[in-house]
Amino acid sequence: MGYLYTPPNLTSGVDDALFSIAGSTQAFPIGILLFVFIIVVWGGSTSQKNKIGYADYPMWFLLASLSCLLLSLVMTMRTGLITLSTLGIVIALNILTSFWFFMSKAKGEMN
Amino acid sequence: MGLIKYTTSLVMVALFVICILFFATNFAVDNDSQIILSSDADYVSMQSQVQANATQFSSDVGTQSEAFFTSAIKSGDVATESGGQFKAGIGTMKSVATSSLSAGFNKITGEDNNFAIIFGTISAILVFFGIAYAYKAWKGDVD
Repeated sequence: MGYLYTPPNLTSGVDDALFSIAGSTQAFPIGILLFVFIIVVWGGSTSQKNKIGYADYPMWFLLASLSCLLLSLVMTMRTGLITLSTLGIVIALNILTSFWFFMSKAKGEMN
Repeated sequence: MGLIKYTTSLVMVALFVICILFFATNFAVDNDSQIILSSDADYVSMQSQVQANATQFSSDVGTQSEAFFTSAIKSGDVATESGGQFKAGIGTMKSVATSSLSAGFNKITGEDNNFAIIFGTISAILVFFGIAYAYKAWKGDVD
C-alpha cells in the first residue's frame, strides 16, 4: 500500500506521530491551536448564553487565549512543533484579549 | 467614577502582562524548553518597561496620597492648585496601554505600518479618556 507521505516511526515514542505530521504539514500545530481557540470561544459563549441569557465574549476570548498559551507552551518543549514567532503571536493575543477583558468590565464587576 | 475604573483596568492589564510573560519565561527555564520566550527581544524590553511603569505607579500613588493627606482646602477653594492626586496613575499607566497594544499589534501584523494607524488611534483614545477623567475628577465635567 502506497502512502502519500512517510509514515511516522512510532518505536521511539507516540509523540513522533505529532512531529511527523507537523514536519509534513507546517500548519498542523497552528491548526490545533486555532481549533482549541474556536472550541473554547464558541462552546463557552454559547452555553453561557443558553444558561443566563447573555455571553461575556471578552472573558471567553481571554480564556481561549490562555488555553492556547498553555498548549503552545507544552509544544515548545521540543523543536519541530511551533516556532518562536507562533509563541509570540499567542502571547500577543493574550495581551490584546486581556486588554479587551479588563476594559470591558463595568464598575463593580472586576474593579 | 470613571477614573477609578480606568486606572484599575490599566493596572490589571499591567499585572496580567507581567505575570503572563514571567510564566512563559519561567516555564521554559523550569522545563528546559527548546523554544524560549526570552529569546524574543521585543517581549524582554516590553516586560521591563511594563514593570517600570507598575513600579512608578506605586511610587506616584505613595507620593500623591501623602501630599493629599497633608493638604488643606481653604474656604472658597473650588479645586486644588495642581490636581496631582487625580493625575497619579494615569500619567504613568498610559505607557502600559501604548506599549502593550503596540507590541501585540507588531507581533500579529508583522510590524506593517499600514495597520499602525488602528492601534495608534485606539491607544490614543484610551489616553484621551484618562486625561478627560482626571480633569473631570479635578475640575468638574469636561463637556
